Amino acid sequence: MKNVGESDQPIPLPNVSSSVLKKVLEYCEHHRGEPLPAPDADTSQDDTRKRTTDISEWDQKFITVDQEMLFEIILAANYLDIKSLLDVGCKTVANMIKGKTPEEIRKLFNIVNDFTPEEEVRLLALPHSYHQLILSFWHHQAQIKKENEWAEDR
Amino acid sequence: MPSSTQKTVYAKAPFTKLLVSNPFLLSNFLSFLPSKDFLSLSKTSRAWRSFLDQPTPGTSKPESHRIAELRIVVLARYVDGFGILLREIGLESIAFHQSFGIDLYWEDLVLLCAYLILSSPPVLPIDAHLFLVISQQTPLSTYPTHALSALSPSASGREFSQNSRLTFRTARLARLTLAHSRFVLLLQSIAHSSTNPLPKEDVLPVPDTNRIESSRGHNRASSAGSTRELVFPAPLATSDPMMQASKSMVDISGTLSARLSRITQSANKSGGLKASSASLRSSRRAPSSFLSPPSANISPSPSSRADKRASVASFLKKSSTSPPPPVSESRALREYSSNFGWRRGLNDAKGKWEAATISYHSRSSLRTQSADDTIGYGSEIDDDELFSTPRRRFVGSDAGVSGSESSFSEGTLSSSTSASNSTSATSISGFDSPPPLPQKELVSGAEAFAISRGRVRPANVDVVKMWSDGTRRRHQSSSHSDSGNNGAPSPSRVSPVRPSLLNGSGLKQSSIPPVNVPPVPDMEDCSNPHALRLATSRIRAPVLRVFVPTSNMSVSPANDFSPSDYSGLSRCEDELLRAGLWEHLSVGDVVCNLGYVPPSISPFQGSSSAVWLLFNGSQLVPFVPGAPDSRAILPVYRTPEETETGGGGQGQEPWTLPSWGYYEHLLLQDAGTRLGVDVGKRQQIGSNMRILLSKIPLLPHHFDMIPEPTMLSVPMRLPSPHSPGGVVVVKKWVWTLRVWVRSGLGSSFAPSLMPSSDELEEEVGSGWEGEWVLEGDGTKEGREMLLSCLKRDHKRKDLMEWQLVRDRCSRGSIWLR
Repeated sequence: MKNVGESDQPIPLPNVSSSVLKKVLEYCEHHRGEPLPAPDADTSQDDTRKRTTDISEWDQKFITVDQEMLFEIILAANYLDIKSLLDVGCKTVANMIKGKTPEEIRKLFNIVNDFTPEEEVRLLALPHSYHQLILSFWHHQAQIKKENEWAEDR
Repeated sequence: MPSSTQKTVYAKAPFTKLLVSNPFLLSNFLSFLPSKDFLSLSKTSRAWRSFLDQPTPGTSKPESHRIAELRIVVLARYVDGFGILLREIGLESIAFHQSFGIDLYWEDLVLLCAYLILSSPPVLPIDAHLFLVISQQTPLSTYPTHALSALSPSASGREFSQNSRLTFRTARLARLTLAHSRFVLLLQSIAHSSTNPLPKEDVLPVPDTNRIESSRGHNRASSAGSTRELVFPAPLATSDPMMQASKSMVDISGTLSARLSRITQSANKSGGLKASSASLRSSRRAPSSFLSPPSANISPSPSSRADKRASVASFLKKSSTSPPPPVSESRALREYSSNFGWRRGLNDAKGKWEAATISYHSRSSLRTQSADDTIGYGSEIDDDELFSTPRRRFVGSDAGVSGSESSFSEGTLSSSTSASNSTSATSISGFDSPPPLPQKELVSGAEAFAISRGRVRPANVDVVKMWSDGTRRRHQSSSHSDSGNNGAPSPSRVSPVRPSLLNGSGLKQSSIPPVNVPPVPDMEDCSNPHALRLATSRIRAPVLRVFVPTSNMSVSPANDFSPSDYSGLSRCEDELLRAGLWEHLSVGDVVCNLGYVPPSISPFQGSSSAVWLLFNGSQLVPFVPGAPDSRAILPVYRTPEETETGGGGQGQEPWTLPSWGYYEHLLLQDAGTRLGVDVGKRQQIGSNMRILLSKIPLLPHHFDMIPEPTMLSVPMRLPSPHSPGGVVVVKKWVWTLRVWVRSGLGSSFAPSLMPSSDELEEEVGSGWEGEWVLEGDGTKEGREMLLSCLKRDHKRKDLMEWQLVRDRCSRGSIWLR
């Protein structure tokens, strides 16, 4: 926007609906005058850092919308490059997921479980049959026996 | 624009569609999502797990790029060090193919981020089994503790349920270690694709205790304290050679005077000599340290003869005007001429290494099978696949693929130690043809060690290894070595650079947040060789993990393949083979078996319990830094047979490794594990690394410019039970010879002096370039030995054992004793 300067020319925002734009403007109005977050201010750490998901009270109220609107706001914030709003949206989604099981997350976001039963089992890389269980057991027994024999020889 | 496939997948999930289709958004979102919740999310649908999957043949190019970008985002968020590494290298300078060259699987990421509760009964694959703790935070003591219980004699007497639980825990830990190793190799591949020069070696954090002790010792401060100091007079026999040396010392003296004038100026500026001296002591690891108090240099002037017998105090007087480090950049500091550094061989030799016997497809099937089976021990893999010849990628020769796998074992090596004393170089001579292996009791030290490495799978001989109830057979023949030409293209550790891949995509540079302060991964966690972040270093050997509960990590003679020979070492190799990691190993890589339990643990065992496994190009070899026996010899060297054949074998000279400090983190760890003795002192005593060289890597035309040896008084720290501190400083007169070693690819040589292609075959590692100080005994024989080392016939069939004196090595300077 800075590059555009003051102009009467309309700025097309094809990716942002009017209702979403209203919300965005509401956010911007409330946070007007606040210093812009330093670009990547807290990135001196590794990416594996744990970033806080705290949201201010006003922001929480502001972002309490239905999922469709929430995702629209996130998209608009990304499109308009409003980092703080984008963070608020992402934090909200992250907070919605925290502590939930996969099944709960599926229900929350209407995600279709497209895993095959085999993939579900592979998830934990556990033997999925009694036969394999027995084989593993005896295999391990053989290892222990061999180690003991070796120790005795020494 | 999402593809039609996406539409079908995400039609009812705008949430997934929103994030998975936009890497930047995903990156921002994941920055707020802990790993535990990401794992839950990734179990909701296939789309959240597909980042690490290999694209199927029908995948469109944009889709493949998108997946690659998402993969970067996820790994940068959840894999320690990955993001920092990418920023160091520069996102623009590295692009990712459909894969990183190393197959990554979602399960590996899970295992890296998750830790399975060992105490929970492994009956149902429910989410409660996932106790999500970052893998790095998992105490390493978990592994040997479990190994101890698994190896306990009472284990066989347990009930079925208990044993099955034990088995599953073992399998899980094994799988966890392999996942860690996979990411270590991944980080290494990215790190070595950097075009930046190698980090400087002197950023290595030497423990303060060591530094302080050393500087004290040099100034005799410790003499008054707990460290005794013994000073030997200069030998009379050195008078004539010293005169000869005076000519060769002109340059050094000139440098010295220049440095003296510099330090005078700096002392004046800084307000006194005292400060300057202090700064000098603190920077004792600088290259100029060789000319300063630690090594009292004998001046060629007539007065030097008086100095020769002067007390140490007289030398120390001069120390107050010790020269500062050189201002000019040493050769070792210059930018490595190659773009890819040490592991460039991966790329250069890629075509040659395409002799992969285990293709990606086969490995994928292996993994699938191993996932179905109990990971780690339960699966039976095709023997042909298991024991295909591993590839060594730094030789750039096809012979490395088809050559003798047991090249280290072929040839009887006999040790001949110089008559002078134990500090002399040991030469190991061999024979043209491999004679029968000698009896073990007739050989000693390095001989037994070198022989013992050939205990497995000699080339061109079918080997059948049977173990357990005889159901398992291992075949390896030369056909495996040669069959690789038909294999799948070799995945290199470094992906080719294709910056266009990332252009115009949704992945912004800021997806991976920049680091304000340039990270120095080599400084961080250097004391912990197991830290995943250490794998981002290019001058430290990567440390892979396996988990094989065993008390036997010994190697067996090559001709003994009884079932009992199937030691823990072989099983460690099998684990890596089975996981598809074997072919990604490079010479010098370190493997740590976290399941190793020493046969008997006693406080007097010291470091003998610490066993590292080094990949020498063909197999894993135990390496015990600081051990009094041959296990302390770095198992990376080129045998005489290989030298004779022009480097086509499996061996590799140690100086082709990236840096002389490549195993510094192991040596520090070794010092830390010693029991009952001051770590700092122990570290100084016996943790110098022993290496075997077949030659000093001088360019041919340098042989005419070899200076004469000079004599120096060098302090050494030796163990002394009668000394209050357990250490005594011995100042001993030794011959030293300074030579310059640099990469043969330098451009400063006239074309007529440029070495032939054969001579350039092995490039000196960047960290080895610079001034080499070769130390020999202060005797005539020692002097002759030094000269003969440089003028060795290239066809000599023996190896020289040198000791890498760590506390005298620094950036651009290597001290070999």
